[in-house]
Amino acid sequence: MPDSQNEKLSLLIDDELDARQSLELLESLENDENLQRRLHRYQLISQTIKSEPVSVAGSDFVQRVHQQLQKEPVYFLPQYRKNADLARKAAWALAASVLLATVWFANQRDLSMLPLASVGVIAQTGLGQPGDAGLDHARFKAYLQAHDNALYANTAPIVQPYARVVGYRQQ
Amino acid sequence: MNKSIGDILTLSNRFPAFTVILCLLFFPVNDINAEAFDTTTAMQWLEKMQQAMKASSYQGTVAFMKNNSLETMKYSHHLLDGAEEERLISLNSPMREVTRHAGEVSCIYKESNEKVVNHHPIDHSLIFSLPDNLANIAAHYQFDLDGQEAIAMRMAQLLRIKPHDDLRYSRAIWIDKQHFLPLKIEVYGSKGEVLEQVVFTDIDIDVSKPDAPRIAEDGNTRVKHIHSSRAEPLENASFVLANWPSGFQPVFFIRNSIHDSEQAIDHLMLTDGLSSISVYLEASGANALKGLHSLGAVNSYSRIVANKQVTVLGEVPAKTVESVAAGVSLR
Repeated sequence: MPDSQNEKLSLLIDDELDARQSLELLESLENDENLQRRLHRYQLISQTIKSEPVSVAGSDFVQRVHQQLQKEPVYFLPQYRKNADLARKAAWALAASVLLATVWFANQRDLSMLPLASVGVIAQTGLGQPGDAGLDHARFKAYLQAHDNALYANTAPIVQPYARVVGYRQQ
Repeated sequence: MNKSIGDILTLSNRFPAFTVILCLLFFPVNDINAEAFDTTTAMQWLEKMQQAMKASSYQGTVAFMKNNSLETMKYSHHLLDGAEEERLISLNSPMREVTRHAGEVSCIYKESNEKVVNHHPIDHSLIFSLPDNLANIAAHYQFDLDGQEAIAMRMAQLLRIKPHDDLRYSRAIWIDKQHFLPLKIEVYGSKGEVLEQVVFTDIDIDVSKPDAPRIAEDGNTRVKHIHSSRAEPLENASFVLANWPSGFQPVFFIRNSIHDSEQAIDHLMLTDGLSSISVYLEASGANALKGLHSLGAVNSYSRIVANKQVTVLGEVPAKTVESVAAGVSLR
């Protein structure tokens, strides 16, 4: 699935997608079960992150929205300047995202050049940054990895979920 | 209608017993029945959950949250030829897949085309597990049922695990009412803040065959094998602990190098069955860690003892690692 479609789903949930793109996306949703399931999941994740009470839309949510939109009257009005501003902001946001992604990906490439480590090490990502804070973080991680490895490799009745080890990233 | 209500009120005033009968009929009876028939204790819920996690076939999407960051992973658990196979696949870069099959755990790291295989048998879930003998932790934690909520569109029993002191974390588990699988787990800090959260955002149960995507290996995949470290007797440790939280017991000691250097470091591990603490002792150097450091639920505290650096790290509150570190002295 194209990333742009995922991004649009996210924007739709956050109510930041413009009307034209919303309609296009809703039309796509109407015929795409995978997309509908993804929208469902994004809603749940979004609500969980925001610590909001989870209220899940029914599976016919998209159809009902679509039907409602069909009933709405259409007004041919001049285009608002606001939309142009929004598009320009979106373009800047996209450019910034690409830049961030490029920097982040470069860091990941550096990581991949490291020699093999333990399951815990390989499952974790990110490295210490230059400077004292980076060194401290690298040492903290070394202790944490030793702790996790000992936990899994040497003690049977320990209970730490492996997901925690897998999930650790640089702070 | 008004007349009927008026009649009832009149009857109630004249005959108090009538009021009592009305109350018994309408108000608390349902609640009493629910309590009377739902006698499953918190411990029984956990035991059923442990059994279900081993015996059920299920898959879904797990969101893992800590430090305000989110990681989503595809998860599946199946029985293949009588052996458990469990898999976690990261949905976002860096792409990685962790598999536990018949006790062996391996991790494939797609971007660097590497694979690590841990040959030490691991019989616990990748996402959540408890000690086999729950009675061992019952002395230090309280288990309470706390209502029901919907998680991933399934009704779940909320179960809270609270420590008897403030030296370890509280936890909450949402257990599927129908299949007894854990749908959500939270770890709480001392102020009740959520430190970590694992939650199924969707889950399919009783699936016959896993259909989650897999990371393909090729002939160029570099493989590293891990075998158990050889533990040494606890008496070999060059330090002693004056105090640690009740219920924690030393379970493992090793002298090994853990940084890039070859320097040997003493490593002692303690656990109470639900949380664990590591104590490290090494020569003090220029880059020694100092004071308190935190990462999600994990805290560490470092101090210098007679030219040696002591670091205590664990998934316990900061005051616990500080307290343990304060009690470390050289033999």
